Amino acid sequence: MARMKFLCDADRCIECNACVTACKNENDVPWGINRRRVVTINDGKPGERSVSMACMHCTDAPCAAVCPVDCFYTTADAVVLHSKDLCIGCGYCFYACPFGAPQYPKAANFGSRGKMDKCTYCAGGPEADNSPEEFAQYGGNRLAEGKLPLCAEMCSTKALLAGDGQIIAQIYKERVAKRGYGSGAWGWKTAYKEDIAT
Amino acid sequence: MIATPLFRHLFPALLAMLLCVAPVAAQQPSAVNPTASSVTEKQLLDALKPNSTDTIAGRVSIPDVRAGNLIQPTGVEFRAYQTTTIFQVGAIAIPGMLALLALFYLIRGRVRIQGGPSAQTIVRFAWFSRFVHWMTATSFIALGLSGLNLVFGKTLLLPVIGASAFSAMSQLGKFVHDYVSFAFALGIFLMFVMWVKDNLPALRDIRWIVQFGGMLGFGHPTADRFNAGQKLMFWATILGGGTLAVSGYIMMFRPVSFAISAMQLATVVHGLTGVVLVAIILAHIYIGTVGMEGAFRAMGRGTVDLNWAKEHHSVWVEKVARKRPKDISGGPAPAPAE
Amino acid sequence: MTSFIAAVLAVVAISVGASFLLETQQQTVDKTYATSGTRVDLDPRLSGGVAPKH
Repeated sequence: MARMKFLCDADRCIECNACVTACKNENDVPWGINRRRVVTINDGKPGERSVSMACMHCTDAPCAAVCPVDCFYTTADAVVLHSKDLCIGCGYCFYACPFGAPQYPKAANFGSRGKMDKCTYCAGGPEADNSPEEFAQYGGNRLAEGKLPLCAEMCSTKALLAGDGQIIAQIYKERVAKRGYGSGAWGWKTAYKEDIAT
Repeated sequence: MIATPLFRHLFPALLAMLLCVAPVAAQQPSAVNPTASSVTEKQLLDALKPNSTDTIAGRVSIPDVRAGNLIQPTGVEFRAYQTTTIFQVGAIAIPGMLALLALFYLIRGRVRIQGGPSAQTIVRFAWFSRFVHWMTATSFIALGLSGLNLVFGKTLLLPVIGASAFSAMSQLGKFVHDYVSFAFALGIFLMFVMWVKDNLPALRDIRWIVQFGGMLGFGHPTADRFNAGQKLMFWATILGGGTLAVSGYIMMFRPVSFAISAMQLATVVHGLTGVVLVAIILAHIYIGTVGMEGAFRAMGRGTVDLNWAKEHHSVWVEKVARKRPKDISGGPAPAPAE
Repeated sequence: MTSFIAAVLAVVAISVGASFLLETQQQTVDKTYATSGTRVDLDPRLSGGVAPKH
């Protein structure tokens, strides 16, 4: 099986937020929960870069390590998923996650924040593939249909790449070689403990 | 109609921007090149955060401004704490304390009333004091068990009872932990108000500590209402419980202005204080029940045997005899003062 | 004994009370992060109309 990864080419991202919208629509994500968001750093300054960030589906994921009820699991495609039936909404995964991926449906300032929600790499959850139960809790399951996550598929500048880690790394390397610069694969060192030499 | 006034506003602005930006751009030879040649991720990160522990944040167009945190490096330390530190501290402190208490029981046995039980009793704790003690105690047991479940449950209980049963139990435990905390915090506050004046350090406490309360047979040091051991227990409970309440309510109410590193710190402080206080309270439970003859009835009935009181709280007994002689009963043990 | 029973009852009462009280204050994220919506009351200089009263 492939080792699925996300790669955001910050030199291409134009902060159009189409990935965010695609994710919301495909997975029926409620208002206020942001499985994917675009962060602009150095906004308005020289060297401004936008990065589309979601769960990176880390190797040896910190969220899974700190979860007190062990609700995370990694699929054969190396996608990090979780079971909302097991989640108790303690919030530890949010504190451990380097990318701020875990989201909670309740936000008033006290304990009962509800079941955690995060990017599923458009791969649903533990329920049967593309069942209504799966959709209600986790959203679509494009991976089961042989499709890649919609955020990357819809990216207008192809800044956001999803797919087998080796292939998208190769695409990125070729890009960088051709245009002569590249700010690197955002978050890869943190998530996958590797970087793309450019 | 619309375009003309808009343009009239925009054009000077655009002109101003061009005039300002051009020289600024020309002056940027250092970290970041505006004409977007090679700007590596590392360069950008270094420019954005002088310290390696800072969160790298940017602007987001969604209302939740905290979503602007792109990468927070302290998650690594939080993970190390959650998977290793708290587990090790708890695994040493709690079984360690149990082993110590078992050893103490084997060597010293039950601390008896040396003079034997007398026919007289003395009022030790009023009804309200006992009520507050038991309110704090029962809530602490509920909080301790549900808290320890989050630390050790995954290792000890999950493989035994299965994922869904363990999750249901932990979910219940989390709600219990959140809501029972209010009774505990109230109890800590009331105990502080009720007992602080009897728990201030005194000179005779030094002798008590040196002789270890006479429990190993170096004579019986004098003590007022509370001896040095009880004072230490009091302050451990008040300071530990207070720390737990403050850090716990930070975790629960999550003040918007708190950075993620502050929330992680609150979680770390809460967990470590929690396991240590559980270990300390185990010693308290031991000495209040099996460890010492005649101790439990202080919190049970509210009265204690006069001989017990004379041995452990000689100064206090003298004071009571002088000020409130009615608190000392004459004949055989009276009906429970409940 | 009565102090103990009263204490247990007090713990239950305080906890249940706190849970109800806090639950009324709980808020779903769609409300917390609600924006005031799209501005339809355009500046009259742009729309040519009269600004609606707030």
